[in-house]
Amino acid sequence: MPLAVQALLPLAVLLAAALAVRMRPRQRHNGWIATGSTALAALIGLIELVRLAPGERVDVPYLTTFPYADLLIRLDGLSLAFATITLVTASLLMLVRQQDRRDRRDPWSGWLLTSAAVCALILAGNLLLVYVFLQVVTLAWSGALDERAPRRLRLRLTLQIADVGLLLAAASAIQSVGTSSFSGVPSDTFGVAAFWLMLLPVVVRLDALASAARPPVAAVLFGPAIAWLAPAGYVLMRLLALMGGRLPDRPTAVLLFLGGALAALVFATAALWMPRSARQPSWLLAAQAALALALSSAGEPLATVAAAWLWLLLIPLAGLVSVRVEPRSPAAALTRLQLAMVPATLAFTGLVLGALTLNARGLAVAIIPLGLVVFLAAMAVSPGFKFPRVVPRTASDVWAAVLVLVAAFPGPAISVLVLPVASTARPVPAGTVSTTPLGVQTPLGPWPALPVSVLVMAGLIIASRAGAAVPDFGPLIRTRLPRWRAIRLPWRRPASRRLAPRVLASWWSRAALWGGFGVVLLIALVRP
Amino acid sequence: MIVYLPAALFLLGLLVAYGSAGLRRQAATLVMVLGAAWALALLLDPGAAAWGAGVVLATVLLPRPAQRVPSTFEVLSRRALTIAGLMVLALVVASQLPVGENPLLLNAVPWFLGAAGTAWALNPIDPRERAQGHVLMVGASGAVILLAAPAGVVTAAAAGLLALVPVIVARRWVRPQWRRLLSLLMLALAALAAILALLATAPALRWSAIAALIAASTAVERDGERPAWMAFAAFGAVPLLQGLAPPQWSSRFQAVALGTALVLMLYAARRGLFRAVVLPATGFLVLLAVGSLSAGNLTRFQWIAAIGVLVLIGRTILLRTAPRSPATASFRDPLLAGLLLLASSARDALGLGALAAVLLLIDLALVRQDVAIQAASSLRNRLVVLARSNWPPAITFAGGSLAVIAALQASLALGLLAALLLAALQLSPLLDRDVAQREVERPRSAWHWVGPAIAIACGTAPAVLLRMLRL
Repeated sequence: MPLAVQALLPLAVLLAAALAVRMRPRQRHNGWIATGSTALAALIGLIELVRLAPGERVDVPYLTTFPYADLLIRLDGLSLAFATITLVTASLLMLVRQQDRRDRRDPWSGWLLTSAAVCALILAGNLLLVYVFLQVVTLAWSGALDERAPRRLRLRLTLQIADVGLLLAAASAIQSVGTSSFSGVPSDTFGVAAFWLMLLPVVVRLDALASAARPPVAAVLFGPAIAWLAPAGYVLMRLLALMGGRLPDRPTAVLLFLGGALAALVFATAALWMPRSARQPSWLLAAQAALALALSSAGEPLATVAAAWLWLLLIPLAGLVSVRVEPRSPAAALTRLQLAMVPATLAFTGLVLGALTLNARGLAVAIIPLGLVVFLAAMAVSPGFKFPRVVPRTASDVWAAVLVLVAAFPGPAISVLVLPVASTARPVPAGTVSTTPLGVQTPLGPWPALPVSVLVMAGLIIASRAGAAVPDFGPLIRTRLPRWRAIRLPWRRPASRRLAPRVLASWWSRAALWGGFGVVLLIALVRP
Repeated sequence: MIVYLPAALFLLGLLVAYGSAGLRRQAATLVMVLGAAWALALLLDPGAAAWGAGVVLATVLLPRPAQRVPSTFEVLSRRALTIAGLMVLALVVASQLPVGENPLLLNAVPWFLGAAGTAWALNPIDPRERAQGHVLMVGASGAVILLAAPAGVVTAAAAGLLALVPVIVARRWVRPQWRRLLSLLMLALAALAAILALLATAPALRWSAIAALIAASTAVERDGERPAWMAFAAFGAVPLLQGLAPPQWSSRFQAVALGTALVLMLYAARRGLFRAVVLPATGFLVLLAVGSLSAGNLTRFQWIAAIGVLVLIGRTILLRTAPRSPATASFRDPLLAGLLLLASSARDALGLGALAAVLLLIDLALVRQDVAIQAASSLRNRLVVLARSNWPPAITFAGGSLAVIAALQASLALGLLAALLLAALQLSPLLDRDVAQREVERPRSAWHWVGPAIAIACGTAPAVLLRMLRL
């Protein structure tokens, strides 16, 4: 099969399914069509990823429009790994939603289009296309064709505005090197300003992730994992890849690390502060994403592997968090465990790899905020934590169990998904990370994931069987902090006309406006 | 001595016109026109007098009421001051832009005609006088441009015939049962004038066509009439300066006039025929003219474009903060106009600025007209909603994004300003939430979706448009 067709296959499958679902609305089998086609698209992505040689990058052009913005698809480890894991997560979310009979809405077409838009975003071959597809993703998940529609209005507008940062960065690349294509942009194209501009879409999506709380009627939220986290992680890793794995300068790297760590601390503290809030899982998820952002700043190969691990595996975790589960189910317990960031979780593996790098670079002090975040997250999740006495039965239970298994056996995920991403972002020398049956081996130290997971899980199971529950230490901290929630800000905004200074409404303001215009005309006329 | 006769004839006609009514006033107006035609014949060549035929015919078709319209002291004073001020201004301009070594009074006659027309259009005593003012303005624009760029008999006659457009728009000489047919004729004429404005190589014909377009569009809706004529004056200064001004000042004046004209045109283009026809025609002409500016003059143009953006947005802020006024000024239009200004001023090798400007012109002219959409239920309405949005397939998205890229290639400041405008454009649904939607009364037609469909097509494949622009 020609490469041009292969590259388009996942998109074609998703779009065909969306069309099929659209043509026969409210049919019982639509959910299965959506789930199956998304899984098929993920499988195609995985096959293409496996067939790709290490370090191979393929640009498949389709249409030459402008010299800097050809319509092309980029197939490399980064794009295919992100596409695969995002589509797998989307497929799982659809499966869970299909099994839930309480929600009678028909979301399949919108979800398929969102998946297709995210897939297109990940496979896009230049920055301008990435910008365009970021907007398409926002349109697809919100479904707000009419921009004045009140549904998620502020979030939509914030995302749209933040994406302009990426457009400016693309324009700056076009100005510098005449193209925004990934293959044509040298690694020193982006300066500090362009880097921060490109980071805007990432930061805003992480903030959206933190503020996402599941409404009571929704069995599954599709947006957080698929429309916010996956694009954010992909754009950041692509940004690193465009810059050769290094940030523009050291102060930028330090600022990014500090910003990420601080954000993680804030989110973890918020989760500890309000344990019964519906947003607590979102805050803990955002804390993990902020840690991934912090670790992305380190310019070492192992840190890049750690960041890639965190970003990639956060996507299925975010999907799991977006699913409504029974309170006493295995899925609920395992999700809480993953959010606690304790050993035997996905996040902890990434943090260990990051901490090994920081320690080797003599930055052991930088491990303290990471540890603090883990401590706060564990404290936030711990009250009343118990393992249920039932075996996994539902799709979400199995999903949660698989994530625990991935944390215990990180080898396959690292080999198939993480290393291709990391080696696209920057050169990763052989031997930087090797996998063993017991865990991960690095030149800086080992991480025995399997024994640690077994020990932690066994301890938790035994404690649960014994009827022990982790006590709530939160009040010890909460009582010592001021009750900021008691502060009431005036929510009613005064009418804009009352806010307007009187001078604005006077005749003089118009005279000043046109007078200023006249002065500039005069200056433009007489300047040499 | 004979060279002063046209001026004397004109002034005599003007005095009689101001002091009489009915047929006598019409005859006096005809004398004014004949005076101007005679002056043209003396200044250029006898064939140029053919210009007067159209203006004479237009004046004949606009009868005056037999009785004088009662007026007050304030109105009379205002009218007297207006005509006096404009005549002095005409004299000053004529003295600065002489045609050869002809006497000043002879040079000034076509300018006087424009001054009289402007005075009648600014402070009309009745609607017919306003229409007559438009006729004289259109005619005078052709005459004045003929001074700067002489043309043959046919061109001069055609330029004069365009003065008939305001008469057709006024429709007072037609029986009521024919007026519907005439409105169709008016639309056809407007389209013809727009095509003439774009395709004509003779400046006199081109500028007369633009003046006729402005007269036709502002006759229906007076909103933005004065800035529109001011924009025309600034725009018309470009060929005049090319032909008559000293070379050391000509090019920089032209750049400033071009920038000012575009800003004022965007300021005036609020709705209706003006926005649908005049704005695209003049926008294209500005784009053509920007291509020939030198680097220094392009910088002048960019300065004016940048300050023009602030003026357009500032005006909206002032309108929105005015006490006791309904919120009708939307932020989206000035933001789009601002992006259009910046895109027009960004001249780049690939032609991205021009492409963005064309996309935004299509958007402003075709898509963003005030026809209310009932609900986004039917496919057609969904198409219209999508075409008017900032989402990717829409032309606004393509035009805005390309404008940012092009502006950044011109300079960092322009690029950042364009990015700010684009960001604010995304916010406009929030800012314009309380803006009262105006619904324009239009005949129901199945063709309403054509504009949005074209807009989405252009937004989806802007490269096709770029190829067409390069042809």
